[in-house]
Order: sequence, then C-alpha cells, then structure tokens
Amino acid sequence: MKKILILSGILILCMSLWLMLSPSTTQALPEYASQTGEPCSSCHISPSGGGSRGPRGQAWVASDKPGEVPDLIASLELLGVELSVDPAYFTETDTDVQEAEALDLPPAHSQKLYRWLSEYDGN
Amino acid sequence: MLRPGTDPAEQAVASSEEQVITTTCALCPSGCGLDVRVVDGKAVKVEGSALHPLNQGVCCLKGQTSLEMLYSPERIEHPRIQMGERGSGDWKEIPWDEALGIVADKLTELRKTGKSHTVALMHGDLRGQMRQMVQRFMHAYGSPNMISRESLGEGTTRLAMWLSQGINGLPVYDITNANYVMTFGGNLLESSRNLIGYLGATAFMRRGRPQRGKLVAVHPRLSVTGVKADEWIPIRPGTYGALALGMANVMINSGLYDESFVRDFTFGFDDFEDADGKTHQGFKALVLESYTLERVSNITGIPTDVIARLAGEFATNRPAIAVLPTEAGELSSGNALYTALAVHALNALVGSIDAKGGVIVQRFPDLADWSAYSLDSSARAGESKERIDGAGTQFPLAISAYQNVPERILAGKPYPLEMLMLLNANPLYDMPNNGRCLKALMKVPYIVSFASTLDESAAYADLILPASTFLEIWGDDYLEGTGYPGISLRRPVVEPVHDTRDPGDLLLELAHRIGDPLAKALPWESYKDLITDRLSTLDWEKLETNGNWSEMVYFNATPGSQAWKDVLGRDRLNAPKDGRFDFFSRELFALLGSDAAESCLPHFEIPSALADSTADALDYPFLLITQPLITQSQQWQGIIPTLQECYGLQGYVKWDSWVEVGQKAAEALELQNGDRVWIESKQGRAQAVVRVRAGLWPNAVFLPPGQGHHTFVRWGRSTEENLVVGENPNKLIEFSSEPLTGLAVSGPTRVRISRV
Repeated sequence: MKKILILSGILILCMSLWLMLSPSTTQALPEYASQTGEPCSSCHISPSGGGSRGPRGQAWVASDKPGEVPDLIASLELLGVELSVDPAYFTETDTDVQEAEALDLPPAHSQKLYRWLSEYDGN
Repeated sequence: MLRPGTDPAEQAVASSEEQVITTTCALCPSGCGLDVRVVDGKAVKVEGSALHPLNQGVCCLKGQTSLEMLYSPERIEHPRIQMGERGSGDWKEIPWDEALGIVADKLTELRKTGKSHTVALMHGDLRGQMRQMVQRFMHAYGSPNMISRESLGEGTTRLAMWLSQGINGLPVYDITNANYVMTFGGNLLESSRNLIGYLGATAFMRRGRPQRGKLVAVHPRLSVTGVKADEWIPIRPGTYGALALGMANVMINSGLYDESFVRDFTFGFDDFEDADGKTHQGFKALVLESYTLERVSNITGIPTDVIARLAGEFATNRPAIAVLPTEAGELSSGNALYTALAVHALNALVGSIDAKGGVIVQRFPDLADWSAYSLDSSARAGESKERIDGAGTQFPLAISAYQNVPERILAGKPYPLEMLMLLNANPLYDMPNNGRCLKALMKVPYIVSFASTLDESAAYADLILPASTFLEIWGDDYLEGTGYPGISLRRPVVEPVHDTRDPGDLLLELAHRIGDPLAKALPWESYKDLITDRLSTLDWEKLETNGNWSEMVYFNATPGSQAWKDVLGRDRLNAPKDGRFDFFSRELFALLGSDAAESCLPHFEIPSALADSTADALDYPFLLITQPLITQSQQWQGIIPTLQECYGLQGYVKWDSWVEVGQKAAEALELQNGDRVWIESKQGRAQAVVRVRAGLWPNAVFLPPGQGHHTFVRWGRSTEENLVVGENPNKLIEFSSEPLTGLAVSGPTRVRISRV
C-alpha cells in the first residue's frame, strides 16, 4: 500500500512538472497579452483565448512571437495565404456618395419571387 | 479527394480499434463539429470538436444525446408499407428495391399523365447541398411544390433582411465586438442558431475584455437568456414591433441616431417624392407621429422611462445590435414581417450594418458548379403551375406557406394533390389545427415519409423509406454564424445500425429510376459523390483532417466601399442595388404598387388576440406563449430519455409538460405548484402541472414546446404504446397565414385554465 502511495506521489509530481515545463502550443497566456498589448482574441478563435489560433495568432507564432502581433493582412501574407480579393475592396471608399434614384415602379418582373428567394445558400 | 475505401465508418469496423471520427451535428440548425469515439464499430461517446470554429470543443446537451438517437429502439428498421387503413399501424416490412420501385412507378405515372405538379414535398431542415439537391429533384421532375417549414420560423427574419437590406439570408450578429445587444423574442442563449458561438461571444462581451458590454433580453417570459442577461424586459406578448418603433422615436427625437449613415446609406428615412412627384411619408415622420412613448408604453406594457432609457443606451453604446429570433413561433403574432422590419431598422439607425460589432452578412464558399440540365415539356408545364401552398398567388410575397398546405388540400385548391412526400417534416405535430391537418392528409391519395422514427405524420403515411441518422451518412453544412465562408463535413461514424438509407441517396436513386430530365439533373451515383464533387474546390486535406474548412477571416465592408454592395442590396430583384438600406422597402413598393405605399414602412399591427374588442378576452383571459428550449428535440427525432430527464430543469418537471402561471394569476385561481390543470383554447385542451413563476407577463401562460408526441414513446416508459409524454402546445393553437407573406400566424392564443 505504502509503495503504491509513493509511486502515485512520484507520478503526480512528474505529471505536474511536465505540465509546468512543457510549453503548450495552443494555450492562451496572459503574459502574451501583456507582451503584445492585445487581447487573447487577437490570436485565438475563441474570444476568451485558448484553443485554436486564428490567422494573426498563427502568424505571430510563425514569426517567433515578436512584440507586436502582425495585422490581419500581414498575417495572411506571412502564412502564404492567397487572398481571393484585394483588402482595399472592403476598405477604400468613393468620396462621392451615390444619390438614391427617385422611387419608381419597375416593369413587372417575370421571375417568380419564391423561386428567386429559394436560390439561397445556407442550411 | 476522398477515395473509395476511406469511409471512416468502414475503417472503424475493419480495424476493430478505437477511433475518433469528426463529423457535424444535425440536431439543431447550428451544425457544430463533433468528435465521436468509435470502438469496434460502435459509437460510444460524443464530444465537441476542438477544431471547429463554431463550437471549439464544446458540445451542448442535445449533441451529447445523439447516441441515444442513433441507438434508439424507436427507430424504423426497414422500409415499410401500410397494409390496412391509414393510421391503423398495420405495417409490412418490404425490401428497398420494392419500396423504391413503388415510389418511382407512382412518380413516373403521374408525370406521364401530366400531373407532376400534383406531387408536393414538405420539408424541415435541409443542410448544405441537400437543399439545392432537393430543389433540383422537384424542379426537374416538374413540380413547383417544394414547401419549406421556414414559414413557421426563420422565414420571417430572412424576408425582413431581404426587404430592407437586400440580402437573401439570415443575419449574423458580431456579439464578440458589440457593446450593446438587445434580443427581441427568441432564446438567444438556449436555442438560437449558432447557440454555442453566441454563448461564447456573449460571455466574452461581458467578462472577457476591459469594456463590459450589456445584454438585454426582451420577452414575456424570463428564459435562460433572460436569466443570463444584464436586464430582462417583460413585454406584452406580440408587441416587439411597437417597442422597436418606440425606441426609434426616442433615438430620432433626441438626435441620437447615426445621422451621416442614415443620410448617405439609407432610403426612406425622410419624406420624399417619387418619380411621379407624389410625396411619401418617411420612416422618421411615421415614427414621430405614430409611436410616441405613451402610445408604445400602452401597447407593450413597458413604462415610458424604461423605453426611453433602453433607446438611449442602445444609441450611445455602439456598436449595438438588435437581434431577431429565428425560432418557430417567436414572431408569429400576425405582424411578423413588420415586427422584423421594425427591429432591424434599429440596426440601421445606429449604423450597425456590417460594422464590427454589428450585423454582418454570412458569406459562402465558392463551390463547383452544378451540372446544367434542361426541362422537358412535361416538367416545364408542371413546374410552372401554381403552388399548392399559395406562395406567389394567395400570398404574393411568400417563400413558402407550410401551415397553409392542409387548408388548400381540403379546399382542393388550386388542384387536388395526388402525392405528398415528407422529409424532416411532421405537419400533424406542427399544426394539428383541431384535426383539420389529419383530415387533409387523409385526402391525399399517397403519402411517402422519410421518417427515422414513427412520428405523427409518418404514422399516416402509405410508405416509409426510413432515413439514416446524421451519424450514418455523408453530408455537409454551410458553416453559418461566423460570417466568413466555411463548410463542415458530415461523414458516417458507424455503418447504418438498421436497414436504413440516406435520403440523399434515395432521391438520387429515384431520379435514376425515373430517367431524364431528372437523371440528367442529378447524375451522381451517391450523395457522397455529389458532396465530393461540389466541395472539390476546397482544401480537401484540411476538410478531411479537421472535419471543416473555412477562411477564418471576415472583412467588414466599409460603407461606400466596393464590398458594400455585397452586404447591402446584393440580392434585390426589383429595387435598386444602390448600397442603401431601405427603411421604406422599395421591393415592397415594386410588389404592392404606389397605392399601398404606407405598407412599405415598418409599422405595428395589433394582434387580434390583444384587441380589446375581442369577446374571447373574458372567456379566455390568458395568452398562451411558447419559447424554444434546448431540451426540445427536433420534431422528427423521437423521444430522447436524457432530454426528457432534463426537460423541465427550470420547473423541476420530468417526462411531462408543465404550465407556467404568473404569481397574481395563480393567487386569483388559487393554484399552487404541482396542481394539475386544463389549459383550454377554442382549438383544444391540454393537461399540465402548474409551476408558479414570477418571471412571466401577468396574463401569459407558458407551455414547453416539443412534448406531446403520440406515436413513438415506448423508450424509457414501462407502459403500453401510445402513452403520450406531456402535451403538444400546438394543439391549442389555430394556425393561419399572413395575407401578404404567407408567414404563420400562431399566437398569442387565448386560453383559460381550470383545475383538473
């Protein structure tokens, strides 16, 4: 019985040491947040941290955890992701706002509405 | 690409070892990733998949019970044909070849005689590619009658998104980055689409970052969402729209709305002239004139100072989100569309459209094109006929009018239905309508059900082609709820436990048996082939390894950017795609014409049950409300013992229904916890145990949904068959349809309570 207790104690000690010393690749650590000045959600998919990393987290680790987390576009470049669209597509705006056309009744559409609305991606 | 012989289920059996196979849940619309532990070909444990963007390792109570569904003794084990009268239970098991032959022969015969349009398919959830596959089946066969159950629930929100924002899809809420979230109905943190994602996001919003966001739940009942929220606002049932318009009144009156966004990126805020020089009232004038605080307070029962405070908080704690429910019955008070338009207008007032922390638009991956096919003259003639549910004719704006099908069948309009197929649909449970739904089904000469357990409607079918469960089949889910495009793979974790088949495979085989143009439209040998073909544009390695593929990045579109038109106006049919949010719906204007311009603005219509003049108010003083719960299984799913054990966690009731009654009402009726009472409406009556609750609108009563199934309740009960577990609240409700949209009208229903 004594032997079992001693063995169990050693086992628990070893496991604790292993847990303390081995770096976990997906653990959200508050010191990383302080180091980079960003919340855990910058790097992890889960907003509270831990678990899988998003693109910025992956790029940050891939570039040896520098003081700053690369921004999203830089991260995607670092990871070799080929964007199908230019990010400017989402951000650059026309200086002139498009005026609304005067309301008018359009010619009757031949498309059946239920069919138009059934053309729908989604579950 | 997936190769033959790499079926995870086959491997698991062959190796006789422990395996963990990743697949996608189908027990609610979320579609979370599951890791299923399989030992010697038997699934023994389910956990959340850590690599899935939606649930990130979490598995809800319902997901945990999926093995009970897989190994349920209630499952139908072989194809079966009704030998006696409909509903007699005189079944005979038959081989698949014979069963499919019967269906194929009937479908072929109807097509040959020019009656393809008299075949209808009513369906519930169809995931991933299945929706479009079924659509192709019905279209190429020559029937317009693919009728979705969404008119009971999420159809309202989708229609409102389309009519105002021009997006034919459900909104996604970026709660993680929001500062103020206000839910109008529904049960966001217990039963919403993307439940696990929203739970995590809400927790982070309130506790995971320096600035704490606020969650406000508006509902007549204090639900799990209400309990977890920072504030619960009890409201008179059926009046969410008035509250939203009252809040808009305060925001506009106080100048708290986003003036530049409203000016540059919306339409119909101010009064305006149309092309003929006719002046139309805008949203601002309507709201300021008709939705004063006092009036809104009288309608909703919420004090004026509370409405004003909520409006102020919402407008000044941006980004703010007004959340619409998608669950069945939550907006179905006869003013569903305008309620949803009013609530979504709040998002535009604070500039939350596709903003970080606002309402974002779900994007979808580019998949391989569907193969081209053309209709023959028979299919063309059939599919152009009027729909059996009245979508497009009786209801000009309807996507579907599921609840209207029985009435149309009974009326024989627009033509007698010859054959009905039921796929994930159980209309007899959904809307019994005092026996009228059963009467309607009995009038249809032939009914085929794809049920996996003997649900109420399947019991009255002529033929059952039993479906395999989601743990036995190939499939996919669009990854919805993150905004960015993604696919979650569904694959068999075990060989089919019984002699059942994937409905996708069954439809493909029927298509081949019937021949062209169906066979051309659906050329795949199996549903797995269809999936691998369609998803061949994606990173298969990642899809197979992780069980999902996604872009993981959502770019918000800045107003005025090129991307802006992808999130505002993209799917408009008749209205201009000018990047403007419609307070005044130009799609509605195009449809209704200039004489009905006032119907193009969000407004509030008092539900008939709330009208003071209703004589029923004296006889039936209570308003029956329902609210979805996490323990509620799908209407086709059968009895799940663990869910029954947990059903009434809030009321400590198991394997039964309970009725929640407000404290004052209970005192007046001298009712106490545990008393059994009748809840009676004009439609029928139900018996339940009383639970007195403080968290309930004074004259509201609540019955839990999902109980009261008649035909598959043996499991977990040591009593005879047909003993019902609890009561189906739908039997108290008279289901009708909104005249314009075909959306269901199902409450609040007036009821009275009496001691048993």
